[in-house]
Amino acid sequence: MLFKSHYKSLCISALVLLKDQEQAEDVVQDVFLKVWAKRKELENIANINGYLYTSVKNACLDELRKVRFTDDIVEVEISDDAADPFHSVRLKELNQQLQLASQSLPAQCREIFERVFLDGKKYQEVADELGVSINTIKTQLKRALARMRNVMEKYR
Amino acid sequence: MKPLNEQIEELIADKLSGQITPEDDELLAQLIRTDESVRQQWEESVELISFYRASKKVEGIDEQMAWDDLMAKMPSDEEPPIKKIKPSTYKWFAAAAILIPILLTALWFGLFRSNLKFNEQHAKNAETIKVILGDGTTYTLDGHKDITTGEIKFGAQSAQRVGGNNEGRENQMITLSIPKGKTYALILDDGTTVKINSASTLKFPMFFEGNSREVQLDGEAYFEVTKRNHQPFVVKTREMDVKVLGTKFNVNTYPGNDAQTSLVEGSVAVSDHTTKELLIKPGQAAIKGGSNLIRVEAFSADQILSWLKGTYYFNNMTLRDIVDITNRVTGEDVYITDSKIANYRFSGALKTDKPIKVLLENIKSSSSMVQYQIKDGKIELY
Repeated sequence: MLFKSHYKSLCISALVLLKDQEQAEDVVQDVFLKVWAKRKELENIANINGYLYTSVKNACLDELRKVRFTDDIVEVEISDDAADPFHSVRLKELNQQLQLASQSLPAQCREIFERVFLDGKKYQEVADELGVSINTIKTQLKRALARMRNVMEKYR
Repeated sequence: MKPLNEQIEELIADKLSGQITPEDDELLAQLIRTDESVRQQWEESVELISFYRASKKVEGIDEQMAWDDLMAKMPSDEEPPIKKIKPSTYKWFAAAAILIPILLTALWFGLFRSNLKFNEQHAKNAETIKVILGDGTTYTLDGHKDITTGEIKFGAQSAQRVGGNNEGRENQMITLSIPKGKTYALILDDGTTVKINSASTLKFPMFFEGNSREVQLDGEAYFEVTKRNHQPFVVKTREMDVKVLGTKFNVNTYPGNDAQTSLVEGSVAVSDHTTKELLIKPGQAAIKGGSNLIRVEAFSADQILSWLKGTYYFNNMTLRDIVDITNRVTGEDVYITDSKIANYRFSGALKTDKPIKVLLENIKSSSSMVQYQIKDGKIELY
């Protein structure tokens, strides 16, 4: 079923642009609705994934144009190529590889990576929580970043 | 001294985790601007972290639930799910500079119930509701008699279908023209209900054929549309077309306002004949003024839909605008004879089931500069 196998990946690409999970899910669901409504016309498209993916991206850009958008941590320039060198088909693979890569990090390394970048905690906080020095934090972070970046490289 | 790359890594990590110092922030920004390889490293890291974050968030998504959600949104014979209406961002008594004291709606009830006999002899607009068929035949609905044409029976205040069989019937376009001071409720061929406001005209076919259901609106109406995926419902107005996917929404296109479509439930796509379609969500309104592109805003349900219950809110509106709206919805003829007072602003509400004198008294009591009198059947404000 097209929906189930691609829903999450499409949500990821929407989320990267929109940052809000509910909004991202809404956008992806709306795209599915529209595609469903047009399904007769789309019967002949060879790459339905590509189409889905491009539709989601366009829908996100439309959303962004409607509302001015700032992210207090990172400001990303919105251009038509924003945050998106990845081809839809490989998006799912990429996601899996990234998950694998993070799983394969040494436990503490991964912990540190996630606490800093996902939970948004300060270095000192994490250092205290895990009982290590700030230096350790920084070293581990760099290692994690390097490993993950390698994975991304392959999908460019 | 650490190798340059490592130092940059640190800066980037600091920035992405939200704990970079202002000086380092400056430094990093400058490096990104001036050094291509730094910029690349930066962008790759941003991608990585954004992607990773998104990926983690999405982990929690249950595809089955999302699928159920989607199925629920899909046009079918079931009722649509109730969507959250976004909280109103429209502040009522906004702190703008108001020349005249604000009229509280609380004053309405009780205080001014008039014991004075209100002389109804002043000229109330005597226009009637007209039904015009495709061949030009015009009927007037004056309340004495119901008019039946084809499948539809037009009563004095509402119409409905009688009989249900369209076979063998010739289709035709019907124009329903509602004058000032009246409203009308109607059920279309597909079960869609429409409430039409004063001074509005709706043109619609007796039954819907073809691959879309089209009606034409001039003025204001509130729609509750039956979902039919294969036959989208389209409301055409001079300023914008509203394409509907099974929903509840209000379209307001009176001259002198910006045209506005406000969505209560479901989803509609709005286009203005020049731009491509804009999807709006419940709680949002698409507004088009003059030749401007359509913009989307949140709307206050009270403000926009209160007319369905016979109440109109005025928020810091000029007397001139208040009079225009009042005339339109009550059919009265109120004039402002002193042009100075036309620009005074008032806030309050009008209820169409109360005599107009109530509104007049309220305006008079909230400003010492405004009086009214009824002369020869006309109401003058001065």
